[in-house]
Amino acid sequence: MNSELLFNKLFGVGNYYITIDGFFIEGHAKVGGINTKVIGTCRSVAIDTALALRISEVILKTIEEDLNFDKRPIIFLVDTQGHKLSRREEFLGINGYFAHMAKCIFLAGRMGHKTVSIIHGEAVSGCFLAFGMMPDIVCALEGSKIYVMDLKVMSKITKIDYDILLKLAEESPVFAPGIDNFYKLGGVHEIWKEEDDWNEKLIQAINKCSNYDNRIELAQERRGRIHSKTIIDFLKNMKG
Amino acid sequence: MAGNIFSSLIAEQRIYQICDKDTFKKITSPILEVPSPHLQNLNLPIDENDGVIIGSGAIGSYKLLLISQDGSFYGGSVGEIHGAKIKGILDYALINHPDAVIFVIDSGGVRLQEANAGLVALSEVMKSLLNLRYVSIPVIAIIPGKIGAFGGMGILARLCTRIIMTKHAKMGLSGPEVIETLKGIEEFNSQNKDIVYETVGAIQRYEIGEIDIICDDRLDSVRYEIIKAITELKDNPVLLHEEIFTEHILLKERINKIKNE
Repeated sequence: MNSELLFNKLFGVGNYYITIDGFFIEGHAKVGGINTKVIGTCRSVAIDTALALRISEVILKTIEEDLNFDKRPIIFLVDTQGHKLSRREEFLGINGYFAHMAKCIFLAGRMGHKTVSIIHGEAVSGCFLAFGMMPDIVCALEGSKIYVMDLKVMSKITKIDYDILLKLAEESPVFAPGIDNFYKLGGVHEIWKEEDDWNEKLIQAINKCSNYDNRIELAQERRGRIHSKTIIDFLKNMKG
Repeated sequence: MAGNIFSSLIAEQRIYQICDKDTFKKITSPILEVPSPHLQNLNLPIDENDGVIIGSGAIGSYKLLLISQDGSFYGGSVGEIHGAKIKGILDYALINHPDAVIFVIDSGGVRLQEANAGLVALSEVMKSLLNLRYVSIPVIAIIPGKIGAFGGMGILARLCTRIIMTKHAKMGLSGPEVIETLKGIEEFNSQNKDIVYETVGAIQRYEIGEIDIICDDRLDSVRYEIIKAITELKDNPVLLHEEIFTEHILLKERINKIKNE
């Protein structure tokens, strides 16, 4: 979706000031009368160490700016084909940069910032893990794509025939790409449809933010992961 | 003696041997012994541990909770059950405050056969681990190799309070084979052991500041480093927010340095 259309539909015309620098989105918006910080990526960028660091930097700056003030909710707009694959990026320790980004989002939550992510294109694998899925509430716009690995790529790596993988994907939602599958598994809290009022949805999502991770309950309710909750509850409640 | 080589021990023995004699207790229950329903659906081999052993134990007066991934089972990969067991023990740690959580990582990341469930489970593990970090309960990662720490587990490893790698272990995001398959052999020749090691090997990781501790692949060396780390962290707990701001400067400097070379 065109960025201006997206911003207008999310925040309302005239309620935001957002700049796009290459693949990087930054700005602020008024949502339901309160100021929010907007940080994101667009055009399905492959996130590299520099971009992960840039995202982290704006989060840390926001935490510092709000230290003695009302903590602005942070809205993460996520569109990425996954991390950049290269020997140089691995040499730099891209996993460390991603972990750092995840820590920054976690810290923002603990410092009192409500955090919401909106998947507005693609969210793939490590980028979904360390970026898209880290905020308190994860929302995906209808038509977005979430997956771990493209089936063609998976076929190349596992050396399993593409047609076999395609067939497996049809049979198994825990394997097949798609936001509905991630919704069932609790990895996406909400899917926003085209006809929904996204501004209203966003106001509600901000209100639902909490440091408590409720995805295991969602997965249970939605019958996506049926064994996990029992296992976690058993372990959590063992006698000390 | 082969028994002294830490990486050649099987998953359960690794954490059994880290603890003082007869203190390790594997946590078992029929509730936990659920083989992956997804692997079953695909008629693939299953395991009652789903590739991860959890338990409790002690070193001296230190009370420990321990996790050990089994690299021989689908590359130590994280599936739904595997992830739930790790999250469960981390959440237990948050309530019961052990002196440290010891996490022996040997995993290529998310289990592709149940990729979506594995990815969400791993995300939950990340948040549970950060909850421990936030209250300064130490989580000490040990990466001994065979598989190393890759994919989402490469990210997770870097959330831990301390990382101990043995000399021949590797850590990264995409494995060299994956990059070679997708970007070509001129980008990354995964068969060239020197190039691989110079890129994602323990010594390189140590030199650029990605990890804190590097040691010989011997049980006594690993044990020594664990005891030292727990003792240091007792005296000087790491505050997560301080670590994040310090780390940010280091990561920025690293990019700038390499850009200028």
